[in-house]
Amino acid sequence: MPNRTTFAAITLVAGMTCAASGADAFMAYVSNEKDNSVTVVDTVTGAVVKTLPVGQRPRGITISHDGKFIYLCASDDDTIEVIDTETHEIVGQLPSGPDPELFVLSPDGKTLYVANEDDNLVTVIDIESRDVLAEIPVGVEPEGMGISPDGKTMVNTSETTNMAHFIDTDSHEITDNVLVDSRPRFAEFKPDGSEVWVSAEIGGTVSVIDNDSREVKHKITFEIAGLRSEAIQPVGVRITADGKKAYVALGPANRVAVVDTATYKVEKYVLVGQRVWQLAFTPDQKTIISTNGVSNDITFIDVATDEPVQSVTVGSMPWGVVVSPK
Amino acid sequence: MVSVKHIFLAVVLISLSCPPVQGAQGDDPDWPCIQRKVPELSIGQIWTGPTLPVEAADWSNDEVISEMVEELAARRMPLPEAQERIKAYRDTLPPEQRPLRTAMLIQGLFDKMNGERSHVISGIARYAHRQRDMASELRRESSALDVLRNKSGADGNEIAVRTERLTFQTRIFQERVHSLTYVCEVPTLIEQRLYALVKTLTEAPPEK
Repeated sequence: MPNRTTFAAITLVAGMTCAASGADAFMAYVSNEKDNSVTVVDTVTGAVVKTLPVGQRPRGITISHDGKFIYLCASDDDTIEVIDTETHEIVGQLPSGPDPELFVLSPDGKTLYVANEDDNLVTVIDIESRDVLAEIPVGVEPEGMGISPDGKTMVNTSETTNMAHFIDTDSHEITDNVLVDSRPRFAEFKPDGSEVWVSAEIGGTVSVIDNDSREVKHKITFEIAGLRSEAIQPVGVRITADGKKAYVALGPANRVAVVDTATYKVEKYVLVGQRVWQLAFTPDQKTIISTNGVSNDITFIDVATDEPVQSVTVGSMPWGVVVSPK
Repeated sequence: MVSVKHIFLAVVLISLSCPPVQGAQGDDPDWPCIQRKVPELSIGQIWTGPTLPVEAADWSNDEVISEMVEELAARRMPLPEAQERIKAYRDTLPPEQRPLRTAMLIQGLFDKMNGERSHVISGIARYAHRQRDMASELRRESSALDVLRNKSGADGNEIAVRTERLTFQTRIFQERVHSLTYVCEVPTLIEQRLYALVKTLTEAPPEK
């Protein structure tokens, strides 16, 4: 009998966690695709601190390593907005090229690699000078962007070509093309640089690519009892700093899969909200936050227990999330 | 002389020869939406509690539940109002009846709204079909007009009338291309409402 429900449990655990927590306050920044805003959420109290009006169709979001600036893809305005995290003002723009969707910051924090979905290009931007350093032609509808921890290799996935393109960041040339499953969405390097995990939304899989041989060494599939396979659509992927666990957002399956990176087995499916899209860890790695596009909320998952501990309502169709370092 | 109207038509007709109007999946001609087609919902998308009791499947035989399902599922009732209605109903139930009545409502809302959603999805398939038929009809008429224009002694009046009609029909086609974005969102809107209703149903009632 459903006398106790998951939703009720989430609310209950949330209350306990908030009351007990004395951790450092980090700020989560969530891009809301539909109402052109960024919601700023205190990760300890779960309170919405502020809602910032931004450019049209905000999607990809990241932060400078010193935590001073948020970079935000305003896709329909064909620009990247720079937001000051102190004043919450838009203080500048970067020349992104048309329809920027996702990007990745180099490990030294100096270069931004942007996927331009409409133009089949990856634009390379020098953050300090705001100059375009290169435009790299890639497959059709580039989207996912990952960078190796040493900054030497960048991986871009192309939605229609179904490929992960490995790009040398010195020469800006494609060195390898790896075929993955249908509609690849996201590329995430393991912290030791040995593997790249690429999710495929329509294929329903995550391809694990060996970074030495540049071949798919394993394909992770997902099965959830009572759920049709079409509803399982892997999108965002994040791997813990110790490289042991991976989290995969599964779109309309409304769950995040927790995967053991040694065995590639799914350890758990965590129910979060509707259409789970992207994920971000807090800098202390104690919490991972999911954006749930259709239920218009974000969910905090406790990394130690992999339990959902709190949901916070944000703007309309939350897409991306980033958390400020201390 | 080439008129603006002719240029407009040419541009639109070139676009008609291109594949579907959105970046659809490609392998299903009846699915023109960018979203991956999920023909039916699974109860696991909205509910992770224990398996619903068998009796819940009989929800349609219960007059009160059946009526509530109709009311709550209909999008004309604003969501906050539907949520209030659920809370009010829950408050009238003796504690021992709550689990079963809640389960019946969940099952009822799921069956009803999943059915509606599937209906919309077949509607989208029909819409895609009609667009394809319309596109080929517009292409046919456009080449017929080209032939006519190049014919010596063609009836200028007929050319004018048919060009006018083609322009008009092409505009309708374009309008329909634009509405597709909204049409494709309807299944998601139904899912969104279903999830929100079930969430309200399963939230613990406030302490009295």
